[in-house]
Amino acid sequence: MLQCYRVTVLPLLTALLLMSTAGPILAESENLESRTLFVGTEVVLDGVAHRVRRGFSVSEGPLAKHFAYDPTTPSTGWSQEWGQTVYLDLAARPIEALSGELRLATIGNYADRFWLPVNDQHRMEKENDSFRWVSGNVEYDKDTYGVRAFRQVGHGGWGSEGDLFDLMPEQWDVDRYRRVTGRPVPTGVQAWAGSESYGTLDVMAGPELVYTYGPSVFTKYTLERGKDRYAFFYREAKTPHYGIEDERQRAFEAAGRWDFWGGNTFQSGLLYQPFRLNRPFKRLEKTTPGAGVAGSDFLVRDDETSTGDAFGFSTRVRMNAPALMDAFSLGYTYEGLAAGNKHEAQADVRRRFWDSITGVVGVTYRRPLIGPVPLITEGTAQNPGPPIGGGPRGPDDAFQVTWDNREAKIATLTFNFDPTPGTWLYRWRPELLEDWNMNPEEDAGVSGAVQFSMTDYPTSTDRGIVFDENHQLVVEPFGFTSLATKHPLPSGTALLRVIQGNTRLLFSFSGGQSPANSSFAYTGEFTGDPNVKPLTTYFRFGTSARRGPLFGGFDFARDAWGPEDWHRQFGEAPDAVYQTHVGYDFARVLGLAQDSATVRFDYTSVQETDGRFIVPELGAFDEFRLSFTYRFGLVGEYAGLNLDPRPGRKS
Amino acid sequence: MKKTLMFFAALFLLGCSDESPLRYFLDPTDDFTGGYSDTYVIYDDEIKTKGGVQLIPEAENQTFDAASNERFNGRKAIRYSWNGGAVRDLGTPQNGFAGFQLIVDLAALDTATPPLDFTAAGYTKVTFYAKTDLAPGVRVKVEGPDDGNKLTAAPRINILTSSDWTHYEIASAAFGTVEQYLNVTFENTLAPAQSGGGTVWVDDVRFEK
Repeated sequence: MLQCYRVTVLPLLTALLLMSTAGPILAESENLESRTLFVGTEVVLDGVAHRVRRGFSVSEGPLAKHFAYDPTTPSTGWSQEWGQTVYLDLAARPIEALSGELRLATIGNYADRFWLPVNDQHRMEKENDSFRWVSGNVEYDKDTYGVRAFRQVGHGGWGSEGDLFDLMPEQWDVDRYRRVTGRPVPTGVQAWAGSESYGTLDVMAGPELVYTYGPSVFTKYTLERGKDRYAFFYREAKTPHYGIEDERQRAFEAAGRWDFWGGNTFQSGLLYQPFRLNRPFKRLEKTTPGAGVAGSDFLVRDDETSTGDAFGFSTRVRMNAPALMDAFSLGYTYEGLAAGNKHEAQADVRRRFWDSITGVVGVTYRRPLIGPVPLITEGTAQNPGPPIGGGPRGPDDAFQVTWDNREAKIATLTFNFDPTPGTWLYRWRPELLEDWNMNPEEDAGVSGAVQFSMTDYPTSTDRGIVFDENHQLVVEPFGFTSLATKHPLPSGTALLRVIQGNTRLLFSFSGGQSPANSSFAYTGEFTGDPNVKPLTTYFRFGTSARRGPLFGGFDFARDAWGPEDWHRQFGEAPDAVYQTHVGYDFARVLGLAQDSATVRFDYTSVQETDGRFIVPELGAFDEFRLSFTYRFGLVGEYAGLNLDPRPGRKS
Repeated sequence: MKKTLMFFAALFLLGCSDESPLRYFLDPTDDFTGGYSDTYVIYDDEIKTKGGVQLIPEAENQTFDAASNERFNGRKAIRYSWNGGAVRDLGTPQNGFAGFQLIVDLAALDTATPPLDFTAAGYTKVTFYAKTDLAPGVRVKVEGPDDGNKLTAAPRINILTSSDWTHYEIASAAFGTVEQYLNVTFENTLAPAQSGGGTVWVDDVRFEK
């Protein structure tokens, strides 16, 4: 049978490209019935036309563009390019327990673009690489044990299984990982075995199971007794936050969750992370004014990490309290110097008002056990000497204070409006007001949420590492630090969704003050770089609509950080970004499923209005993009290769 | 609803502000002690100044790594290599010398006034550890600190060809105005014949009283 499949599949693929009546089918092998296979294709044709606006000229970087600013430079003329990308999807389930799937990509030409130029098609063209193995998964799954090998297949975190220290973060944004790095993340192998009586053991290993991590092994053992759960976690990973070659970080966690008084839960966990023990470090200690080092108020103390610094502890309780509120939760986490260096306390209270409005108040207070080395310099402003204590710690030090453990006070107030609480307003995470997190199944005619936050960072940070636009790891510069805020920074978001008949509308507003999250953005005063800024006061408005086969949207952002992670890290915010799109889904006309044949027109305009804080990778431009996407595939019975254009999902 | 709209309208207007965003932060760069302690660590695992490095006279045929794992102590050291190839000096290719400088401020190089004056600091010497791997005819000159004035030679020593880490001291260092904390220069004594260049590792660079 297998031989038959191999011989026949290539001409079949050719035939598939010519068929236009086949129904669209998901490629995931888990959706296939036993003894079936799937062959599918996605074709994307796109054309891009753009021009650089007045005041800028553009040059090529490795992938990103570099825009140079000169207010006398005239606008360029329009240029255009066409691109073609074809994806081939294969999936098969020869027997119930065994399944596999594969996605390959090939490009003809790449339509070069100014908006998000760091992408894999661009990379393929630069590397003269026409084919790419994008993703794959082979899995053998019996009731009590299983094994699989996977490439660029996302996975959940361990938080829902009792991990209180986030040893395994969720990894769902696989397309972005590929786009930014060119690497298939996550990739690895996994094996599991267990039963209700004896619990379940699950082991994963791979070269990059978590975005930016190096070779890692993750192990968990979970055991349920009634509603109670016990879990043990182990992680050994080369994490990216440290600069020493071949250095690995090991962590052990034991955790439990217990139900009490019907529906209330109590969680507790113990962490042991012996990382960089017996390593010397410096801390500054306040003393009599003028009696410290070089006439300062500080003495420098030498210390060393020890075994006790490797431990952490966390506990959380969630309770229903109908007398005062509907529910509340409290949590506290302690992590020793080597285990994370922080205290963190969280609380939130939830109360329903009338039938359709829910109010949620959340507060978080966090501070490091030992704070950062502040940036206080010997000498005078005209003739500065060395920073006291060596200045903010670097990535090679025993530990640092970074954005994960810096002192912070965060307060959030959220009101949810949902007249039909039977369908959740949020899809994945409650009170996270993002388009992607809104439940598409929500059926209320009008629903929405409003959220206000205040965030204060009373002290500074040490120095860590960030990845630049070429995905090169760079260390935050010596002698700089992410500064403490003078007062809490406000921000707010509002989302409104309207469903009337077959028309769906979504409106979003957000704005506030957002600090850059690496010290690179705080260097402008010294280096004279006029483009970086440590904080932006921004505003965003967006709307999207769908009515039958027609869809469209409009977004406007003023002084918001650029779209990539490194834009916020390097303090880069364009003055204004306008984006609009409109499209048509031919599915109904062609008798296909939704989004299987679409044409879409996009317009993006990045504008520089004041000649300050130029974003070198975005500059100012106008760009149009016209794209046509067509997805189709066939499911067939494995034995006879009797391919039928029919849906292949399990009911 | 009205207040919500006013909140976002205020943000929209604030986004137009021309004031420096640094005003929202506590800026510790205003905090100076006024005095100087006994030691200024210039390099230990990393360059501990804001100035950085410059290759001289141009950057061709040389490599500089401030984080070499081949170190005297700690975790990193400086590794500099010159392959002996031509390096332009004022536009003219030559193979007589090449090197690197640990500078105070790139923007202040070759300006009339050096950016720092350490007279009040009271430092008296520069110390460091180094080892070398040099082609025949190549020697290494170390100067420091330097005020950038080409007419007056900075205090200097020549370091030995040694595969072992060796402690060096520039005892007669002059700590007046400073443009470069340290200059390390390879000199090809066989020039104009091309040599094989060489490599130098440098660690624990300090100014001391």
